[in-house]
This record gives sequence, C-alpha cells and structure tokens, in this order.
Amino acid sequence: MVLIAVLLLHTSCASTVEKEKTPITITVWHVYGGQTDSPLNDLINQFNETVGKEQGINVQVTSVSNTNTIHELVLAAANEEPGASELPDLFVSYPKTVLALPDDSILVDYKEYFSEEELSAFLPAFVEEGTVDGRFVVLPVAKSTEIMFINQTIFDRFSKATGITVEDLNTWEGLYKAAEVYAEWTDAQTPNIPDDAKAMFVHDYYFNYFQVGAESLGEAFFRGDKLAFGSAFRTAWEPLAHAALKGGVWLKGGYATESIRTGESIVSVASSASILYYSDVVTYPDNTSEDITIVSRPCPIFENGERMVMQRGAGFCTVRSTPEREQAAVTFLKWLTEPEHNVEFVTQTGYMPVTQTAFENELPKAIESLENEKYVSLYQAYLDTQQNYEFYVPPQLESYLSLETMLEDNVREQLALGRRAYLDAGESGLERISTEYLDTFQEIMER
Amino acid sequence: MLDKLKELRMLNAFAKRQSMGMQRKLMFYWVSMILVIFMAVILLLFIAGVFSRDDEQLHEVMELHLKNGQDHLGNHLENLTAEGLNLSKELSREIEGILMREGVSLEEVNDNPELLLRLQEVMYPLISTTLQTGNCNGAYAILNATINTKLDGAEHSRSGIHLRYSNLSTSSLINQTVVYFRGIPDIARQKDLELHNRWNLEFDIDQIPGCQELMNTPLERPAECYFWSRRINLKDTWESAMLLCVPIVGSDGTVYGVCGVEISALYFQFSYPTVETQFGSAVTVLAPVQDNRLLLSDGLTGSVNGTYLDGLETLLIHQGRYYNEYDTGAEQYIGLHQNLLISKGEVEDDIWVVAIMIPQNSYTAYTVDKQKTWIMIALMLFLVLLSLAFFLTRKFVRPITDSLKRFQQEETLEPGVFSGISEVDELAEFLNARARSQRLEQGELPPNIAELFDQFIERKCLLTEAERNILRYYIDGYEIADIPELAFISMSTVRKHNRKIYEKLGVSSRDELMLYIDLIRRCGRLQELF
Repeated sequence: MVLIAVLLLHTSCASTVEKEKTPITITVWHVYGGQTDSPLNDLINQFNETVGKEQGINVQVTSVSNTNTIHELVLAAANEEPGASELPDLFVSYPKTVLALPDDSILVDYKEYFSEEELSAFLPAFVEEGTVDGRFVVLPVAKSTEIMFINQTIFDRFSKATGITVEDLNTWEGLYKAAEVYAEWTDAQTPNIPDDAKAMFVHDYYFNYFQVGAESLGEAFFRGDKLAFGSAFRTAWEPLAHAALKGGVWLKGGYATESIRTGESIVSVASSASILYYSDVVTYPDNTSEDITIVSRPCPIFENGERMVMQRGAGFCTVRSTPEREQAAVTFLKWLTEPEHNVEFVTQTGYMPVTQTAFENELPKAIESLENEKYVSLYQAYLDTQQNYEFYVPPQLESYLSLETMLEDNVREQLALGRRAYLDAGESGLERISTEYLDTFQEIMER
Repeated sequence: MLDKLKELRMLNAFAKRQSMGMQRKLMFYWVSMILVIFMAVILLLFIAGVFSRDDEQLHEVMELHLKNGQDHLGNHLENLTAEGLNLSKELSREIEGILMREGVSLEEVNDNPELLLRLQEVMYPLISTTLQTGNCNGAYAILNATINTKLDGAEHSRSGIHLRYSNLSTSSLINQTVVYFRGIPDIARQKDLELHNRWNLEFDIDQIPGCQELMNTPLERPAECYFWSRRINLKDTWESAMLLCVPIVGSDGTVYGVCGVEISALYFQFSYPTVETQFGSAVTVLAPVQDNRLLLSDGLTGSVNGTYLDGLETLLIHQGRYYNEYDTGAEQYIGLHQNLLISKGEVEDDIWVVAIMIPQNSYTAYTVDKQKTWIMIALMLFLVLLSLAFFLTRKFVRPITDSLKRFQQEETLEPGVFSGISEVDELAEFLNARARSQRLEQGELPPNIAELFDQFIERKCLLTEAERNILRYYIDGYEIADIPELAFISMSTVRKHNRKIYEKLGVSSRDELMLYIDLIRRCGRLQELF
C-alpha cells in the first residue's frame, strides 16, 4: 500500500510538471509594422523567451496588417460568415470595430483582469477612449498623432528655385499654395511634355483633414450620423481643390509612403506611426535611386483655426476564450505596457507611450538615446505638437467607419475628375470646377 | 542468513501459538488470496503488453498523420509545380511573341524601359491568374534583363513582377488583398494595386540561391530542371518564404528568366495547422535534412500551437524503433519523417522530408497520466476487494460470534433461534440438551413447575392486607375455624376472604392452597410469600 501511495504521489507530481510545460499559444493580429520588419514582433520574441517561457505562454503573430483590414476580418468572424478566419486571442482595433460588433461580450472587460491600481497607471483619457458601453475593452498600448513628413532633399531644391520655405507649410493655405507652385515648377522642367505636373503633397486621411479642420474652425463636422457640410468644410475644401486641380496633390490610391518612395510626391501628412514605412531612398523609374532625408514637422493648421490635431492609436482587444487563455493574453499585455517595454516599443514605431510613468521617466531617456535622425526629428515634432496643440478625439459613432470609407473613396475620385476637367477647361474654370465637384461630392455623401 | 531464517521460523512458531480472532484469521486468508490473484492479473496484463502499448499506438497515430501530411503536402507542391510549369510556358509564348514583333533579342531589352513595361504588361495577367488559381500566397516572374545596366549591382538586379497577398490571416484565399512587391509601379497604378511597404523596382536575384544558375543554363523544356528554394527572408520585411523556381524557356532553348510561386512561412502555418492527438500537438514540417539534422530554418513549419517551436531550429535526429527523436538542444520532439521529392535536376543535392513532430513533454505527460489512471483503477479495485473481503468475513463470522456471546451470557439458549449455520445450531442444541440434563441432575425443578410456583408467588401481590393476614394463619397451620377468634372477625367474613384468596391465587380449594404452600415450603421459597 505504501508503495502504491508513493508511486501515485510521484506520478501526479510529475504529471503536473509536464502539464505546465505545454505552452498556451496566444495568437495576435496587430498593425505595428505592416509588411515591414515589425519591431513588435521582436518584442514578442523577447517576451516568449523570458516571461513566456517561465509561465508557459507562447505568443504567435498570425497577421500584421492595418486596422481597416482587421475591422473587416473581425466583423466577418464575429458574424460567422463563410470563409471567415477564426478570431485570434488578441487583435488591434479602434473602438469603432467594437461598436460594430453584433455582440461585444465576445471581448474581455479588462476591469476583470487589471486591478484599480494597475488601471490608474494609464493616462485616464486613454482608458476612457477604450471604454465602450461601460466596458473597458480596448487596451491602449501606443498612441499616435498626425505629423507632416517632408522629403527635405527634394524640398530644398524646390525651395531654392522658388523661394517657398518650410515655414510656408505651417498652414494649410500655405501648404496648398506651395503645392500649386510645385506643380508649375515640375511641369516647367519638361517643356516638351505638357501637363506632367508632379504632386507635392499627399494626405493619408482626408476624413481626418476635414474633421479636424472643421472642428478647429469652430464648427461641428458631424450632424447626427451624417456630415454637417458647413462653411468650415468649404474653407477646407477650396485650397485643397485648387491645388489638386492644378496637379499639386497626389490623388491616386495607396498610402502616402508609396508616392514618397517613388519620388512622385514630397510632403505628406500621415500618422506618426507611418515613420516605419518611409524609406530613406527614392527609386526613380530608371531604377536609379537617391538617398533622401525625411524630416517631421507638426501638422499644418488653418490660418483662422485653432491648433488642433487628431489623436490616433488603436488598442488591443482580447477575445473571450478560457480563463487560462485570457489570463495568458493579459499577462502579455501587462508586460507590453510596463513602462520600460512600452517605451522601447513605441519609440521604434513612432508612437507615444500610454502610462504616466512611461511618459515622465522612460520617454525622455529614450528620446535622448535615439540615434536615427529620422526618429529624432519625429519626436521633436511630437513634443512640439504636444506643447502647442489640442488633441482631438473622434466621437464614437456607429456610422463613423462607413462615412470615413465613403469620404476617402470619393474625395480623391472627385478631385481626380476635377483635375481632368481643369486640364480641358484651363485656368479660367478653376473656381467653377472646384464648386461643381464639391457639390457632386456633397450630393454623394448625403445619399 | 541462516540466523535470519531461524529467527523467521521462531517468529512463525510463536505466531502459531498465539491465539488469533476468527475474523482476523479469515480476513488474513482473504487478503492473501486477493493479493495473489491481483499480482497474477498484473503479471498477465504485463505479459500481454497492456502497459507497453503506448509506443506502438504513438507509432500508428504518427504514421497515419505522416501519411496524410505527405499526401496533402505532396499534392499541394505538385499542383503548384504544375501551375509554375504552365506559367512558364505561357510566359515564354508571350515574351517570345513580343521579342519577335519588336525584332529584338532578350539582351536588347536591357536599358529599354518602354519594352520592359510592355513585357511586364503581358506578364502581369498571367502572374495574377497563377496567384489566384494556385494555393499559394505569391507569384512572380523574373526576366533576365535589367532597366539600367550602368548601376552598381546591375549584374544581380533583374526586372520582373512579384505579386503577394498581404494581410493573410487564414489559409482561405478568397477576397485577399494583392500587393505589388516588385515591378514597374505604372502597372500597380493601372491595376489599382497597393505598393508593398518595401516595394522595389527590380529583384535582387542574389537573394534567391540557384536563380542565377538556372537563368544561365540553356534547357529544352522547363520540366527538365526546376526547384523549390530553401526558405529565404523577404528583404526588409518580417516574412520569409520558399519560392518555386521554374525556368522560362524559349523555343530555341534560351532561358528568358525564372518564374514560379511563393509559399510564405505564414501561409504554410495557416495551411498546415497542428493536429491535436491524445499524445500532444502534432506539427507538420517540410524541411531539408543535412548531416542527420533537420533544418527548420531552411524549410517551412506548420502551425506550432502547443509547442515552443519557432521554425528556426536545427534538430538533431536520433532514429528509434517506434519513433525518431529530434533534439534542438533545449527541447526534444518525437516524430517520424519521410523523404519527399520536390525538385528536379537541382544543383544542390538536398534531401527534403515531410515530418510530423510532437513535443516529447506532452507524450511523457500522456503516458504518466495513463499510468496514473491504471494505478488509480488498480487501487480502487484493490480497495473494493478488501471491502468485499471484510464484508464477507463479517457476515460469515458474526452468527458464530453472536452465538458464542449468547452461550456466555445465558445459561440456556432460547429454542427456535437459528444462527443460519447448521453446525452452530447443532452445537447450540447439543449444549442446551446437556445443560438441561445437568440441571435435573443437580435437583433443580423442571422449568414448567418452577414457573407455576413463580406465578403463584407473584399473584400474592394482588391480596389485600386482611387477606394476606388470613393466608399467613393458614401458612402457620391454623384451621378455618380458628380464624374468627384470631382475627376478631366473623366466620362469614372469613369465608368471604377465603373466596377472594382462592380467586386471586388461582386455586379452587383449601386443599389445593395448602398443597402449594407445602410444596413452596419444601422448595425453601416460603419467605417469598411474606
């Protein structure tokens, strides 16, 4: 009997040890790095080799894309559409995705896993932003804002030839005027090819441009679940349309980084996080390439508007599964938001940290130790923005995403059609075409 | 030793002299029997191989999974190779057509952006179709020409198109976004495709080992020589992939370039999920074997859920009877592998295998779990048998001990009470009979007579004080006629009392009363009447 008891005790102990060794695999869809070498993936490896190994957690990245793609995938999976992917344990999204879910109880309420003390470490505004219907479901890990990126190498050449300076880009009016001058300047470089003006400026999110623009001019951008189309909208439209019709604005699809990469545009306004995708090289059609310097500056403002800029940055949602899996996922998130790791992560991806301690203690040290000039310039612009701008947080509207998609698709299309009409009509048609296409655009948006 | 034996013998003899309870003795016999039978059963099970069947079962399960994996992966790669060969033929026809129409050789395409664009325009639909019809996440074609021969590194820069799916999150390829990884951007703009974050105009063929050699070797048919490259990191991205390299062969044997499809590590991971077996998570691996080592970093690893594999390990192979062991140095895996022919006429003589691997820890945990179950069952059975033995012993011994107790407490056993054991009942009857005869021999009254006396004595309590007084005169030998004078009552009152006394004591006449009194006196119990 004693022998059997001893044997039993031994085997049960051994079995517990073995079970602990079988890791829980946590799958992640994130957006940090897109198709490039993602700094978050390196951090995840670091987690897997340290805390993960100790606690039997193995975090696996199964998709790195963008929040819109994740939005579509999450909705397809949540609605159990045929061919939909299985939801991962963790995914990055904006509250708008949570609002669009048929049932948000599929997500973990972080209040169940974070103590009051742990929650108070986050900046309160970020926790508030991640709270949907009283449930804290979007955990902030990094926040970004909109920044203006300039290909300084080419801009200097342009500046020398035309007298336009970087300071002219401080206001939207100045920027679009510069874009018009740039279009004329580039068109004039090849006199034998007519109408081959190059675009100086590319904006990643016109929805943000109009939204922050209207709000900064003291007018509401939304009316109910539609757009307000007040006079401020027109103020934002006109300089953009004039520059676009003259060829100074990039109107083809894709992200701002693409046309900067091929030298087809030289100034962009995009998320600070897109720093990762800006290459230090421009490749021209004959495969020659040129090393360039990318500098960052705060986002332009309207002459009569307030200094206001969009605050961006999605957060992590945890999908309900078993208590063990949820705990493992939260363990990873807690590790990622520890000031030290958080700052390491954000400064590689062009974001800002999310906890007070990280902001106060770790970030200044990290900025000082930055070596890459591109990143030094970005964080300079970031600090400048933080000191001088008011951050604008978009409202939680159910129609937000559909309005955003519709505006993005149509604004470029209408302006591109306008550009063709302008080439046919000539300088005299500028005002008329601008107004005509604004009306058409408004009509489409109000349908 | 002899001393010890002697000691044991003495102990045994001592134990024999000791008196032991019947129940304990019977229990001891039962337990001995149970233990012997129990040991015999375990021995039989052991000989029958019940305890060593796990390895065989594991072998069978893994062989089945390996077979499935091999069939699935073999078909997958073969179909993709067929797609690649088909793409090569179609590209060859299109490229040849343009070169003939323009009256130029491939060499003259160098430094000619317009012609390269035209060539890429005809290549694009073919590559796009291959991407959409094949179970792959990328398709490409490289021309043996570059847009600018004067550039540094022009010797390994080659024009071509590489399309990839971005944002893959499942093995299903419906509705996936195509990105433009390599190629002239005008085509991306025409087709409304996003440029990859790390787009480049041309391929760096040094990144694809064997590609240069394939381009420089004249061939008759593309099927003569094609290969799957080892896994390469896609420059500046977080992804890595294996590329199928098929030569694009012109009708005169000139190799125009290389084309094929891509399977990325991520896509492979989605396409080959782990199989959950009772022994642990089984991971599918396609990798080359070199010097008895499985090189995961050069091949592709399926989903690694439930393991610590990261697809970059080099595993030392130890062949075994039922399964092989694969050792990373830090972790051990068990599994099986089988060769898979995936290339033809390849420059390097790589042996590729498809393998199924399970973490050794999971298997150990499984066997320990199973052993634990066996031990639990055995222990439970043992306890049940012990309880049964205890119950049966008690049931058997109880009537005997009860009877014995009764023997000790009572002088005679009640007749008609049976123990259920004939021998015990016979013994009881025998003892009763013997007790009866003994009592008679000792002058004791027969019980029924004694009973009559007892009843008589008991009834005296029913008498009143006056009646008891009169009874006493009779006991003292007085006649009825003496009573009125002695008790200061009339004769009629005496008669009345007499009637009551007879009635209460259950006698019918004075003679009967006097007989009782005489007999009781003789038995020496007369004082009980007072």
